[in-house]
Amino acid sequence: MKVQISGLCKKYDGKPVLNIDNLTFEQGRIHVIIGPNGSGKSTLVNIISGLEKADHGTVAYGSNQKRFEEVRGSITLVMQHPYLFNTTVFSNIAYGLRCRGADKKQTELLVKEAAEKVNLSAFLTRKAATLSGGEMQRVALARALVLKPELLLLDEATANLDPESIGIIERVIRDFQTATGATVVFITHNIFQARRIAERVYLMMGGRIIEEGSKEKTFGNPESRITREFLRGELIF
Amino acid sequence: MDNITNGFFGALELILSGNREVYGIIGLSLVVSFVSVIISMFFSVPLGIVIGMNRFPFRKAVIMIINTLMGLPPVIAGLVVYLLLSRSGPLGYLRMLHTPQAMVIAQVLLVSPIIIGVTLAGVKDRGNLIQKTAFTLGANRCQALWTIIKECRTSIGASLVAGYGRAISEVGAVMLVGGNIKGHTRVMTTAIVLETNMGNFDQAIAIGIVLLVLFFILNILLQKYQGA
Repeated sequence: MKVQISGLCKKYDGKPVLNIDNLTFEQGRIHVIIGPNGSGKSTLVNIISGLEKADHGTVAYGSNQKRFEEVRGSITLVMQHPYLFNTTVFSNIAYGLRCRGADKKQTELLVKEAAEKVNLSAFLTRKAATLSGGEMQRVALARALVLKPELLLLDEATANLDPESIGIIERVIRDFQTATGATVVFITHNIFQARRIAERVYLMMGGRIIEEGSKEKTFGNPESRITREFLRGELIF
Repeated sequence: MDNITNGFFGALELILSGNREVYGIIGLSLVVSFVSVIISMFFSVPLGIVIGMNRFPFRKAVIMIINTLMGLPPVIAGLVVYLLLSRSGPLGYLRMLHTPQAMVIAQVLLVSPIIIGVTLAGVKDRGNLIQKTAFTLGANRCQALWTIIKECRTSIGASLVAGYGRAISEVGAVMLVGGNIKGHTRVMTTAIVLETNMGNFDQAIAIGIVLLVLFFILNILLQKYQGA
């Protein structure tokens, strides 16, 4: 799903946190947004996912430029600190399907398939609260992917995770994107991770997009001086 | 000392022999308090969730009022309901004064701030995160609300138990609006007051023992909910 943003502004307590003139996330690609803390990355993703409203500007979804309400069921967001419901891993993954009224057999099949992708098949009957941080994040990812979204948003979904979980999550996202042709918008602080998974890279600072381009161009020959300084000196994990 | 000893053994006899009057009083107390909590639950729990999760003008003032009302003296609640339901009051035509229904209304007034306040405290930290999660997974408003209720069930359960404890233990309001009529509106607390005044310590102690046991059970439930 293509996402077109124009004239997007957001202020918190009168202080501008987001100011984007034009930005397009093309369909079927993995877009990675990098930038320091407070640069507006999460606010942008929250607005795209409908969790927050912009003060000004529009976000249009798909080639027909639909409104959020029309495509809501095709968008999912995985947060940095996901909230897992106080129930089993199975029920957590099945949540969105049950909300959509999927039948029991289909739900069971899809949940098992999603759990297998994130290496959690053996955990389905376990209480979500007993899982480690990495396992919880994998449940959150499976819970989002089971809905087969056309737009998958990930807000620092691998921050502070163990390398094994990071590897699994990156592999699953790549496989999912290849298999479904979905659009993925991935926020990360980790420049190495951005190099690994990105097709398009965006550097955000002060609520604005400073640099935008292919992975090769952004990391190999960035246009902006700020991007060069950011990539050279301030590697943030 | 003799009063206490004789009263205690007399009370045990009354309880064990299944005295109809004593059990009638206990039954009415349980029912009136239960109905009050159930009625209050239907609007207090959603109200607690709404106030706990939303930012709106004068929110702090609203929370302060709820916290103040949590300690509302029962006689004041009783007085308000009495004035409303008395013959010359605006609802006098309903002829509900000195009925169990009037007692339920007074108790709803008393327990609602407690249920709202405890629910509010339970959802204000997690409620938004649960709602956001449900929303990003495609839940509609009703599904998200039901998810919040399910996820915060321990806080909500604790609020109901606390509300029930408040309802069954209060005496002022039910005395005023119920009138403590034998076999009709006499409940445990009003019966204890009356029997003590009349010197019937065995009956007062019998009901007191039951009330104490009930509180013990409520406390176990409350601790279970809070510890869960």
